[in-house]
Amino acid sequence: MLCIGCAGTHRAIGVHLSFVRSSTLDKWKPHQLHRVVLGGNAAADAALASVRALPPVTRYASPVAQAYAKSLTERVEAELGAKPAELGSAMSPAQSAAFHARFANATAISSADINGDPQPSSSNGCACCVVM
Amino acid sequence: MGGVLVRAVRKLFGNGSKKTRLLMLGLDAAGKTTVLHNLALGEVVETTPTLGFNVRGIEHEKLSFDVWDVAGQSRVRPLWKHYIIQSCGLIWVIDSTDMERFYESKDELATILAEPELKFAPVLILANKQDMEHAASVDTIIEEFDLIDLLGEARTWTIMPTIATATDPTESGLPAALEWMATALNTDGDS
Repeated sequence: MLCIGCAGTHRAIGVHLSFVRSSTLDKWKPHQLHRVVLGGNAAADAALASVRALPPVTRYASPVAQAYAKSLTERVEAELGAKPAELGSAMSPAQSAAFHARFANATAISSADINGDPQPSSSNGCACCVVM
Repeated sequence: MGGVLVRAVRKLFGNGSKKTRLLMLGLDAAGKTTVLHNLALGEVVETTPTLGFNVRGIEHEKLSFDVWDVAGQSRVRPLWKHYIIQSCGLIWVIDSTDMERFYESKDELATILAEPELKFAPVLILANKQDMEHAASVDTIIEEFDLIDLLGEARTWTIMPTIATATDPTESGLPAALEWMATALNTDGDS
């Protein structure tokens, strides 16, 4: 989860490294939602701790970030039992219900993180970013 | 051809000052807002995702444009058609590096082109982010989007490579793109 300021920074990095999706204005596919649930801000922060000081493009292009993104993809595929490309765009009602229960938790945690700092000082000064 | 309609629309809405309305659309993060800022102010700013829309007036020689830049996230795309009224030209912005979503962009472009109000509107396609390593060339985009087929022979259209984040006008390609639109509208409409 990230604020609109960081969304701008992430969009400038390029879609090959970071893809921003709106929680309210975009439609989400199951694998995209699973990525947020299985990853999330805390996990991304921890995984990228060693490259945190680098500027955004270098940070997200770094082997550390790429390895984290790849491991996240593998976990999403394992969880869904298929590659994202093979998954349909619609979730079954049961999948959807199960997912929303999990996503609600994830959102609550992330919102708390963000709300802890209600006024992110700048697009680079806030700690609300997640590797997509 | 289309000129008659453009002229009629201008007369109908009392467009005496020749304030020509251009509609700029495309998927989220294609670079629409950056294009708008660059065209209007010659400045490159780091933008945030657009909520709603931005409008800026741009003067180009004898023409005066109002360019509408409308948010591109998937859930708000159905609202695009409400911005079409009185629009004389369409600018379609593509992130040339976002190949995974070329089909999505093509699909949305096809939908908007089917709107009757845009039947005669010149279409300017910007193959944006050409400075990036993974950018698809104009030729690739013409092929991937099947543009020749999609836009047909009857319509005035073009595709131009752009770098909306470049402040140098030649490098950005934006003034040339606007020039094309001005010419397309002038040729079609009253001059």
